[in-house]
Amino acid sequence: MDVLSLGPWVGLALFLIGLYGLLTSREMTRIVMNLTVAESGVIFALVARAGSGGQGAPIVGNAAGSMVAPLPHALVLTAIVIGASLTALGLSLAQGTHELERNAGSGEEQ
Amino acid sequence: MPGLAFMIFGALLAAFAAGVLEDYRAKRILMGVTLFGYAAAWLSLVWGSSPTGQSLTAGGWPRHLGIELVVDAPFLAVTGLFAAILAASWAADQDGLLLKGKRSSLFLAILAGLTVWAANRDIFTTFVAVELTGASAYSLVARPGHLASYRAAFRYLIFGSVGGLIMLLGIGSLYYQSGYLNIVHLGLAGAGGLGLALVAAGLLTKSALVPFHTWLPEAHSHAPATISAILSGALLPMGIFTLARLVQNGISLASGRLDLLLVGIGALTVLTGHAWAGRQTETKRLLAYSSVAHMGYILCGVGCQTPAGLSAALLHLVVHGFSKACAFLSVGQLNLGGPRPTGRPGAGHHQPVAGAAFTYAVANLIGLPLTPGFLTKYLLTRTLVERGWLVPAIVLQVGTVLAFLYYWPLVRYLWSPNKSITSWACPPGGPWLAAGLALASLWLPRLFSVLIASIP
Repeated sequence: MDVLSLGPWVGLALFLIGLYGLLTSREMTRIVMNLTVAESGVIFALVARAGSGGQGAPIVGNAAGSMVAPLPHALVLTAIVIGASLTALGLSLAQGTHELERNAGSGEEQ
Repeated sequence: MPGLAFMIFGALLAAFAAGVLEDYRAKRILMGVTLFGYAAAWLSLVWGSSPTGQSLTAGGWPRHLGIELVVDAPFLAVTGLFAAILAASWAADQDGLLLKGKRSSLFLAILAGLTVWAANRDIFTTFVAVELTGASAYSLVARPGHLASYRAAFRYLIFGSVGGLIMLLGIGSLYYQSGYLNIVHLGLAGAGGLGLALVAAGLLTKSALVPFHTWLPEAHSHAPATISAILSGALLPMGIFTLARLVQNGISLASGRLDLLLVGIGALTVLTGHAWAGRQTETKRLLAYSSVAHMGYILCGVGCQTPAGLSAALLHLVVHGFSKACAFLSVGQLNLGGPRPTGRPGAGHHQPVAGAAFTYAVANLIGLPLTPGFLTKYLLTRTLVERGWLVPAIVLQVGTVLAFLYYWPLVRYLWSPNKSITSWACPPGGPWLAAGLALASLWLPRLFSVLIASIP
């Protein structure tokens, strides 16, 4: 049995793990990290489904049947960029929230 | 179609340019020129539009390989809405909030993202547009120094991102089923099933349908009023818009009744939204929950899966967009944003134009006779009755009664004869904008006949 054929299921499992962690976490940084795990799962599932073992890279010269499907890789690349920027945005929002909370806390103590 | 190219790339380039500019006046001019050019390009497209719609493939690639952009009646309807709402929000921005930091850049990125979202028929490009618009919206919700708005923005980001991931999974499933990403080809190849279910779940999260609506009241009530107007009027219904494009092209579930499922979710959302709106004591939260309810109305129309249902849904989308943006902007002008008991009664006497605009918008949202809102609710109800679905049709009417019950005290409060406040800081010109949006929605009945005739 081809190990790669398990790929989509592994990706789906990773997505569900991330989703579970996201729903059960309270702290903002952890929530963003879990979002990253879920996103990796989706990307893994999409890439793993694009080809099976023994296929070459999608470059000119390889026969059409003997290479992995190139389109999913292009899609996934875009999705990774989007995911990275959303992670950065989430972390900066978390940082801003923590700073405001700290300021509010010190204001009450004085 | 140079008009379409300008609407997308003009807004996108201006977004980058606004990110580099530091000078307030330069930013203001850039935003004004971009919005004016966008409106002019929109008019040129309306002028040259054909009833069947025009299609443009980017870079001359065949349709099933490249990105296809279409200019049809639904595209023109929603982009006209974007232009009006964003221009009004920009002009109503009295404090210069949109000019601080990189906000003007995000504002223009929303415009570019929404235009791509409305125009293209490629499901993955739609995903990219959804995320571009979403990322800009999350950032705009956060107000400097306002803790609750940061929390709301974070919540919005998490819900939006998870919705986007579910949508991406669905897009992958649809692609591997058929080998296509173009919506027309997906429909012809008979793709759907689980892929459609996942894409729909993602899109319904973006449009805040029950049970994925819990992010919306926080985000829309804590954002500045000008941003709330854009989020509620222009951005929110676009998830259902894409779902309508999928449904229109015959992409359906493998088993089970997609129509009943969508109408069921829609009716549930109408009831939930109105019920929670009635319990709010803060005007902006009330309007936010009312947006949830109206997304339910639109989904009911899409769920009918008939041409009449789709066009009724589109018309309701446009009417709700105008009215809700008008309501949010006039609430900002009237300072009705705070909790109702401590607000100022009789504000309508001091700012009659903004008060009248708010009252008219509310009449539209309730669906009082002789307003465009009444017409679209009538069309939605008629479509549901024609399909033989009486229960959702009755639910829509119950929703109208509930909306009247919770809006009426607000309007009465606004026009209460208490004139004790003598000095009322009224920003110059502001109220006229809200009134302009209200008047703009008066041309809708004229547009209706054109749209209904042109939608296949």
